[in-house]
This record gives sequence, C-alpha cells and structure tokens, in this order.
Amino acid sequence: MNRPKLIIAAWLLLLVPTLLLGVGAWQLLKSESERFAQREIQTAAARLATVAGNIELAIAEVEDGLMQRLITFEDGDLPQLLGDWRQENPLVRNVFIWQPGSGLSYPDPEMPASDEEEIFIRRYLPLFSGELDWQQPVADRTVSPQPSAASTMSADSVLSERKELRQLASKALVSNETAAAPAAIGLPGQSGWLSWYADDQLHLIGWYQPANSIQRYGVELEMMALLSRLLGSINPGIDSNDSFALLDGGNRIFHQSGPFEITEKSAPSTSRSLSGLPHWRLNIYTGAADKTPESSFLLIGSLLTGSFVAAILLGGSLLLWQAVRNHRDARQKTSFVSNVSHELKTPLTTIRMYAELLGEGKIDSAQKQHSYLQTIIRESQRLTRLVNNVLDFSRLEQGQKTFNISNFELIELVEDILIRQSLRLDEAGLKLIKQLETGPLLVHSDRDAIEQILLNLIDNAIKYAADGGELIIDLKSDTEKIDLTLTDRGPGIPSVQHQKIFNKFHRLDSSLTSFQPGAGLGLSIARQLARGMGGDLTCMAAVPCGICFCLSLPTTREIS
Amino acid sequence: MKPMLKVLLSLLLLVLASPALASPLLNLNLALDRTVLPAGQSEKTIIKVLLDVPQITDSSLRPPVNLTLILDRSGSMTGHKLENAKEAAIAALHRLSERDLFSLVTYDHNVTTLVPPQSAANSKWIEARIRSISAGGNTALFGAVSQGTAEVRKHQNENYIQRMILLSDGLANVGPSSASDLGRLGAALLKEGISVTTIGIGTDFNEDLMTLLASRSDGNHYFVESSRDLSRIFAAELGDVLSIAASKIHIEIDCLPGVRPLRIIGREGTIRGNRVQLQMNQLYGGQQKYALIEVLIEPGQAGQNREIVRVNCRYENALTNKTEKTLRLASISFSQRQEEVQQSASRPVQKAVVENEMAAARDRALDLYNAGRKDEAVRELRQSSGKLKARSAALGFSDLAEEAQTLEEDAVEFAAPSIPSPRKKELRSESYKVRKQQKN
Repeated sequence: MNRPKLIIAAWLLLLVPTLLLGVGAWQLLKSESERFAQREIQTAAARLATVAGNIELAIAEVEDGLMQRLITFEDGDLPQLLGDWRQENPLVRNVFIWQPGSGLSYPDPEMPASDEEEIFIRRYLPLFSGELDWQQPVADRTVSPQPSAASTMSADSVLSERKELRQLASKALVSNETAAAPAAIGLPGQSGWLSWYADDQLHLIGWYQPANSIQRYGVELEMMALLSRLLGSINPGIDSNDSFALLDGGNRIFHQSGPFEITEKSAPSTSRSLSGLPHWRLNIYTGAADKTPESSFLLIGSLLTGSFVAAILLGGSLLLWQAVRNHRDARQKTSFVSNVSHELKTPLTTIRMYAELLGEGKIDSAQKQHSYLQTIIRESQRLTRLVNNVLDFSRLEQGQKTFNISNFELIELVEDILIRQSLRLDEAGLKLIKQLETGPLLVHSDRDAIEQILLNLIDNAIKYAADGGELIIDLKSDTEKIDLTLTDRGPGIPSVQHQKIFNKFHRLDSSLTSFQPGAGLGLSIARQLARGMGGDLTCMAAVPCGICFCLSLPTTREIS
Repeated sequence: MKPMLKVLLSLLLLVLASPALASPLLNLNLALDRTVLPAGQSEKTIIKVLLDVPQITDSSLRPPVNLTLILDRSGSMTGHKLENAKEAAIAALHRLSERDLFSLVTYDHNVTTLVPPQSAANSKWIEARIRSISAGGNTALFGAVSQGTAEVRKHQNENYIQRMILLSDGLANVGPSSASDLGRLGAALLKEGISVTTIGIGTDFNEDLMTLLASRSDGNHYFVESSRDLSRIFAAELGDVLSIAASKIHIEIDCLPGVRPLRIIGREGTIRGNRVQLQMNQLYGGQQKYALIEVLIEPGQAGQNREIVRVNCRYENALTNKTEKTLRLASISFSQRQEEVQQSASRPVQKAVVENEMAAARDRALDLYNAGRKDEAVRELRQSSGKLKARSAALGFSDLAEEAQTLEEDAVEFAAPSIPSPRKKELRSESYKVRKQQKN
C-alpha cells in the first residue's frame, strides 16, 4: 500500500537534487561567462592603456625634446635661431618671443611675415596681450581615473615607471643645461606647456623663460604633424578583434583603426583620456565577433546541462512509470485470479450440488431430474464459456490467436445464436427485438470469434441490463462495412468509462458490478477479436437509456 | 700633429676648389618688369626670380625615387574608377626602375599598407597585390596620408626622392577633413622633403583640401574628371618625378637699402623685414620655375644705377647629393625719360605677373564664393581685372591687357546663380598649375 508513495518519494529525491544540480551548474556557467567578459574588458583596458601610454610617452618626448632645444637657444641670436628652427623642424609650426608688458616682439604683430603668422598672432591674442595667465590650469593635465583592474594596473605601472624615469632624466638634463649655460646664476629657468583651444581645435604651445630674464620665448607645436605621427601607434594588430578610435575634443573621430567600422554612435568597451592631449579620448571597441566565444560557451554549457538534467529526469520518470505500471498489473492479476476462481467456483458448486442430489437417488420426479440435469448442463456451458474466454485471453495476450477464416452467412449465424440463447434471455426477462436485414449477407470472417463476441455481449446484457426488459439487435450493411448493434435499456455506462470498459481486467467500480460476478475480460476479448478480424467493437450511450455496443465488420467484396 | 695639419690643409683646399670644379646645376636668373624706373619718385616694381633646370640626358644619373601611392578604395570608387586607377598604378610601377622603391597604401575608413616599401623590380607580386584591391567603406584621408608618410619615412635618410601620390574621389569623412588641417600636414611634410601630389577624380572631392595639401608640400595637383585620363596623368607625374634634379630649394631675397619688399605674387613665402624667403621641394629637369616679388623702391636720381636685391639660392643637387649655392644681384637704373622707362618693360615678366595675379584672384574669389560671399567674389575679380588691365596698358602690352579681360568673364560666371562643381575644380586646378608652374 505504501509502495506508490515510496516510488513518488524516490522520484522526488531524484527530481529535487537534479533540478538543484541543473540550476547550480547554470549559475556557475553564467558567472564563468561573466568572468570571461569581465576579463575581456580588462585585457581590452590593458591594451588601451598600453596604446594610450605610448601616445602619452610620445607626446611627452616630443615636448621634452622641443623644450630642450628651446633651452639651448638661450644665449644665441633668438630670432635667427628660432626662425631657422621653424623652417627645419616639421613639428614646429610657429615660434615667438614675448615679454610681459611690451608683448610680442617676434613675430612682429605690426608686420607678420606670412598669413600663417598673422593667424598665429590672432589665435593667441588673449595670451600675448597679457589678458590670460600663462599657467596651465592643473585639472587640464591630469589623467582621468582608470578602470580598476589588476592587469591595467600592472601595464600602467610599467608605463608610469618609464615615464617617471624619463621625466627624471629630462629634469636632470634641464638643470644641467641651465646650470652649465648661465654659470653665474645657476638657477634653472621656467618653462611650461599650454594647451589652447581655438577655432574648435587643440593647439599646444611651449615656452621657456631663462632665469635671468623676463623674456619668454617658445614654440607652437605643429599639431597635425604630431598627430599624424601618433596614428601609427594606434594599431590593434593584424589578428586583433579590437578597433581603436581617437576622438578629439569635440567627440569627433579623428582616427580609427581595426577590423570593423566605428561611428560616433558606437559604444566603446573602455575609454581613456590622454594626458598630452586635453579633452581627447582614446577608445577601444571589442567587436561583435569577440563576444561569440563567451556567449557560445554559455549556450553550449547550458545546452549540455539542460540535456543532462532532461536525461536524468526522463530516465527517472520512465522508471517510475514502469514501476507504477508493474504495480497496477500485479494488482490486476491478483484480482483477476480471485475473480476467475470465484467465477469457476460458482458453476462448479451448482453442478456438484445437483449431481450429488441426483446421485443420492432421492429425487423421484422425472421432471425434477430433468430440471436438475438442465441446470447441470447450463452451468457446465457457462463454465465452458468462461474457460474459453480465459483461453482466448491468454492466446490474444501472447499474440498466438489464430483466426479460422471462412465464408458464411452472417444473418444465419446470428439467428442461430439468438435461438440458442433465447431461453437464457427469456429467463432473465429480456425481450429480444430483431431488426435484421432480409436477404443473404455473406461475410469472410471467423465464425467462432463472432459467436464469442456476441455471447459476451449477450452475457453482459443478461448480467447488467435485465431490468431494462428488452434487447434490440440490429444489423445494417453498406458497401464499406457491416454494423451489428446490440442495444439494451439497462442503467447504461457513464461516458467517461466508454473506453475504459474495453481494458482488460477493468470493471465498473460500482455496487452494480460487485453484485455481479465477473473477471473483467469479456469486452476486452471481444474488442481484440473484432480488431483481429479487421473490424472494431465500440460502445455508445443509447437513447433514451441503456447502452449500445456496435460490432463493425468489413464487407467482403470479392465474395459479395 | 703634422698629419693632422696635412689633413686639415687638404680639406681646406678641397672646400676652396669644389665650387670651381663644378658649375652649379641650377641656373638662377633675375628679371625685372622694368629695368629703368622714372627718377625722383617711389616706384613699385616686380622681380622675377627664375630657376632653370637643365634636362637630365643620362637617365642612369637620375636619383632613385621612393614613391608611395595612396589609393582611395572607398565605396564611391567602385567600378571603372577603381579599375582604371589600378591599371594606372600598374603602369606607373612599370615605369620605375629596380633602384626605385614602390609602396602602396589603400584606405577606406581603415588604412592598410598593401605593399610595404620595396624595389619596383618585384613588379609581379606588387601587380598581383594591386589587382586584389576591392572597394567599400568611408574615406579616412588624413589617416591614409599619415600612413603613407610613415612608409616613405622608412627610407628617409637614403638619398631617395620622396614622393607620395594621393588619389581620391570623395570627401574625407573620417578624421580631419578641413583644407587647413591637411594644409598644415603638407607644410610639415615639406620640411621633411616629402611632396604629396594629389589627384582628384570626378566631381565629389574637396578641391580646396586637395590643392592645399599639394601646395603646402610642393607637389602637383591634377583634376581628372573621367578616370580614363588617369593613365595619362600618372605618366605625366612619373615623368616629373623621374626627372627630379634638385631638391630642398631655399631662396632668400635680401632687399638692399632703399628697397622694401611688399608681397609675393602667386607663391607662398615669408617676408620678414627686408628678407623674403621662399621654399620649393623638388625641381624637375628641363623645367623652369619662378617666383614674383613686388618691391617698393625709394626715389633715385636720373642716370643712377642701383643694386636693389641680392638673391641667394641654396639647394641639394639630386644627382650628386651635395648642397649647392648660387647668388645673383639685381640692379636698376633711373631715368627722366618716359620712353626709356617704357622701352625697358619686360614682356615675359609682365605676362607671368598677369597670369599669376589672375590665378591668385580666381583663388581668392573661389574662397569668398565658397564662404558664401558671392558679391565680394565678383567684386574681387572685377577689381583685379581692372588693375591688371591698367598696368599692362601702362607698360604698353595691350594683348596682356586683353588677357586680363578674361577675369571679367569669370566675374559673370561667378555672378550666375551657381557654379557647377567640375568648373570650380577646373578653376582651382588651373590656378594651381599657373602658380606652381606645373607642366601638365
């Protein structure tokens, strides 16, 4: 009795851990793939930092180099030296000499030597006129905070180390130079780089003021030449999936490099500001192609986990279903054995009782003796039918049932059976109404099987529908099939049971059936026989009451 | 100590002897629009500084060339344009000798070095690479020129003639796209001795950008309306590049006392105090280049002959890789007689002045027109025409005055509701050729 519960409990024991395992595995996969993506971003940031570092270093080197050159001019003919320098050096756009109070002395603001110089003077007018301070606002030159990642940090630290060393070196150089040149003073001069936004463009201007002078002279960087040289370091490499983009202060793409096209709307994986180029940014974009490994990893992982979980659950359910079926079958077989024993015992008891009465010789009346003998015969016939059913059932179950097919007249067979059963029907109080077609109706079928089907149906009618008072037998035929229906006026069968009654060992679980003996085999055998002959046996509710069984048999064209 | 002295002595001798041994390659000449000026008054005069380069007869003497081709492969080049460009590039490749270097950079939104710098003798492989180019994408012109420069720089210190040829048919839409930005890049490249020749195909490119880049880097500029002409243009360009005789030419014009420089006509340069400086990157054999400088001369007495300017020219002889220098002085006389002044007028100088002034006027007018100041553009052309006519007539050259009249016709064109794009490109390209004395 506890066995089903045990099975369900076992199934639950399987189900719950399996589901937990599945969910856990999926979570693990998800976090792993997120870690993947995170690491991708981190390495992208590291690559970005390397490239940005190279750019910053290059700018710093250019600035340092120019500044050192500027410092060497200190004692010479400044206009001449600066002018020659401007003419030679591709990175020098303009040069100037300026003094607080008197303003520009080179180039001459009154007589600029070229259009370029005129524009230069106009561009820096607020600076040269003394309106603006020459000191750079501090915030402008600081590097924006980095995405905190271990790999980025390490790459950064290498670069910053290099930068520090370089700065140290150039500082030493500067002080050496200044100390060596104006030996009398021994003080280093002032210098600085200034970023300047004009005409929607960034300009860089460097200046130097010797320690013993109030005169400042300097250089304007040729930005386009500098940037043009920097572009070479923005190179993601041949096999890389990354694209880089250098964005100017107005957020316009200045340069891009990489396998796919970037527009201003593209979202970068990581972005970095550049210390040498205020307000400019360097972005890295990891491509759509790059995301596939992670997502496919998650997809394949999820699929695998899903199929494992499904396989375990399916296997478990299959075992459970098998166990439940076995349990049901065992129960049915037990009840079948007891039912059959009971069924066999009832006629045997009757036969034995009447046989004993006759054997004692106490019954004198010939009429009574005849009656007793009739009972014995009837009960043994019943016994035969029962045994036949059981035999047929076992044959059908094993698939060993062979049909003895022949041509015969169906109406004749039906009439014959009805005549033989008329006595039983009369005794049960059932009035037989025949609606048989006239004329011969040849069929190609198993005579005995049809007889057994009809007997089973009539048995059922006698057992359960005797109260109805009538049994209607109807035979119709068309070109396709022959329908033989038996309709009673009994209590009928609930429609939900219409299919189940054909299942083996099934009995309507009601007071009615428990009152009547039976093994639950008749209808099951009848249907299997009908189907074995190519026909069918179905059941439907009759109007106004009762139940109607319909045996369909295929017509035999070649015979008819 | 003694051997040291010997070496020094021999070196000194060599230095002293070298100018005497070889006559300078470049022929520097000065011409004035009038050699005689009216006495007793301040006068403006124009000095034509002429550079003549002899034809190089022996092609084995010519310096090797480091040529980088920058080819636009953006979407707009699809079809005939790209095919013709490829054929022209291959034809250009075959004109180079094994001493020359060839490299190829292609660009859309991305820039790729398709052929790294290598000997042009490797033509089979290079040809296959050129044929593999396909079109698509945007136009990253600045990036392309930058990368092309990087390729050229790989052999910068090896006595090659450095030259880039940029071919584009569209607007630069990735990275810097203004004419001034590319112009600044061109100016920086000139200092490195790299010239960029720009070839604009069709009617969609930015002619201002292309001419300014070429002008600042002292390259050539060509406007090709149909890509069928590309082969011809490449041949002309290669003809120039393969006959380069001098490079890094610096011209310094020092005005002597009593003379003040006013302006440079046609070319770009600087005027600082009494010194005018001009720069050219490369001079082709068999070609003549000139610069026109207007100066103001203080009043002189009749019969006086005065030196007015001293011109220094410094350049690298591309055949020998040595720096050479030449020097010329120009002098002027004064006279009371009007006819003497009239007779001294030089037709070739005035012709050059008219042509260059007209070209400059057209350029200024185009700038104004493009800035939406149409009326000022028309006025500019009319004023220039008037001035040139008056001056030519005063010098007695009525045919040059007539030539200046064509500016009036241009003014009519500028006054029309719109100027077709090919016409603008043609005007720019023609002006460019006049101002830079470009042959083709």
